Amino acid sequence: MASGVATARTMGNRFSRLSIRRESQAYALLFLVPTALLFVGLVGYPVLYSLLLTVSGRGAAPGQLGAFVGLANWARIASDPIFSQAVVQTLMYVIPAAVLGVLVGLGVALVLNERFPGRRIVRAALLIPWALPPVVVAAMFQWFLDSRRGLLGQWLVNAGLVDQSPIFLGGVPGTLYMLTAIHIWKTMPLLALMFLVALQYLPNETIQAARIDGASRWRRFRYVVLPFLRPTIVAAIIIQVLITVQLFDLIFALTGGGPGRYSTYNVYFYTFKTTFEQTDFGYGAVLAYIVTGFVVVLALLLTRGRARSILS
Amino acid sequence: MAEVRLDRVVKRYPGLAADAVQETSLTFEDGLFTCILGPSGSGKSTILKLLAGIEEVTSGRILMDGADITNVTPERRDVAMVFQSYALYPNMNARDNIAFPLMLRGLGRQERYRHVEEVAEMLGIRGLLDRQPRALSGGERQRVALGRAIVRSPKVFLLDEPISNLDANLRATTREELKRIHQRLGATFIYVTHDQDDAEAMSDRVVLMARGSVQQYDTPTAIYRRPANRFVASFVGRLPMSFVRGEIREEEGRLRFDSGPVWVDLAGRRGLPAGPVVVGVRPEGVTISSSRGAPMVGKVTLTEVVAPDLYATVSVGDVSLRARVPGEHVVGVGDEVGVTFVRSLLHFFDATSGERIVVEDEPATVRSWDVAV
Repeated sequence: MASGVATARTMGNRFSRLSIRRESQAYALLFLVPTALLFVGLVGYPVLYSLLLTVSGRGAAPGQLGAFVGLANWARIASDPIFSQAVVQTLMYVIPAAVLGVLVGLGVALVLNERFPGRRIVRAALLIPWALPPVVVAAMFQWFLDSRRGLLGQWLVNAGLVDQSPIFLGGVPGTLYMLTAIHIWKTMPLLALMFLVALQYLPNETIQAARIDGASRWRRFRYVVLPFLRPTIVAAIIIQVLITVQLFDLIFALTGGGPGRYSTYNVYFYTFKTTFEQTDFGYGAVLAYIVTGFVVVLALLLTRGRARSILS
Repeated sequence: MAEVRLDRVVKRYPGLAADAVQETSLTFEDGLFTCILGPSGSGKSTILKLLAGIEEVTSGRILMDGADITNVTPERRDVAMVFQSYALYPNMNARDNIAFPLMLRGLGRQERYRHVEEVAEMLGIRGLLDRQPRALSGGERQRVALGRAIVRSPKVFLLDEPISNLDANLRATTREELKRIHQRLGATFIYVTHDQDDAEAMSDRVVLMARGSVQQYDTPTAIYRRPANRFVASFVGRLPMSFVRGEIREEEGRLRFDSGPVWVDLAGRRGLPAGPVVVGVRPEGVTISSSRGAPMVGKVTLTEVVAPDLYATVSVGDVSLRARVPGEHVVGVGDEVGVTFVRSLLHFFDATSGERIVVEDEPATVRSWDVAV
């Protein structure tokens, strides 16, 4: 008997000699290794390399490390007027996008939560702007907003509101607001969908109870629906800020940062320009670190808030 | 306090062939506790929703104390409702849940909370007022929902299976409590349930529904003792009624019910027409005894205990009868027993329509739902 057990043991694979807990830990490690390698290669290495870039001068070729310059690249932030302008303009994108985007998204969700004929089709159509590739959106609006052949200008003229089609993508800061509006148009479906999902979790009977208790439509919204949606609203604002801080494609495709030299820059776009067009990798890395730091803080807020709402 | 009346009300949902509520006229009497009893899909909850105003009637009128409220929105009807799911406001604590209707009526915070305290005292939930709904048990939520209804002192209370999610013991105590609250408030209570125990324990009147129409409107006792048709007879009662199809004949001037091996001498019962008939009898209407010398003999095929009583199913020929076994007797499966009927506990139904055949000496039923407005 004893020898039989011993044979089974020696015949088994290495893991079977470990206790169950140890064995499952060993499996866990085995499955984690590929992900861990990917993470180190694709995130860890660039993070460290760009940290080195922030303290290096220009290298022999773009992207190569140059001589150690200490915090000189970091110090440039303080005296860089384009950076300050980009920060202000980032806020000019983020604040309306967060406030208006969330308000419109909430409004659309409330409408789509009502019963009406064709609701399914409208709900499906809602997602189109979010599903379109950014380049398509840019091209579409370029045509739509074109001052000579664009539809919008034509409509305004036909409606008798203006004599001549205005130039939509030419003014400062009008162009930036136009980009923000397009950005809201594109991101609103995601926010509306978040609210729509949350609304599905509010039982119909709770609303009916409020009606029977005597609450008007506005008061049902104010005292029952809105408090219920509060955690979703917070999450939606954070997500919208995250997305908008990283707004790049519309600027790149529609204005290239202009009109003028920097009027539609945000920090993210400035980072791109500095790094890849001026090949100033040291300063570009500093800017990248600033944007990334901001995004990480927001992401933490979001996930911690989530964890709290799940626990409670 | 109010009398609520349905006047030829019909409710039809688009896309459904059958009416959820077929034309119904019904009066819920002022200050009474009325149960709407029926299986699922019978239209009982629909009637409650129509009364609350959260569903609109397809045709007909709803009257409260004679005033037409058919087109009055739920916000403006003076009715309170307790839902099966309790439907508490998830972001308010128990106190604000109960105070919500008062807040909507513009009462100040202090006055609101004073009323809440009174109601909470009555329901024994003063210690729970600061809790959020998710921190309350089912029974506690049910009380908060009830409190939210009581605090308004409405004319009419609508209760949609409010205790069916509670465990059996809590259900029993809550029934007593609801009855007490009803007596104290004196308001009109309309209570929807599929559980006949609710109807028996609390109600003054029972509306028994099936497939969208009222089968019987009566006192709980009358529903049990004088079921209006075979559906009511089989729906009400802890154990099902036994039905025997047969014929009533007159022999030598005496009426007799005959169904092969089963027969009953009906001497003295008047108003029974000769011809085919279905006899219904509850277990307490069938007596079993020793088989020796008994005119009708059967074999026990099944025994069940419904404490404190023992019930035996007896086969007489091809007829199955459930009988309550008197306390001192013990029977087992396979025993041969004598069977007799308690004649006053027999129910006669029309063989085709299933409607009750009213025997002359029976008192009339309430049937106020027949009375047109």
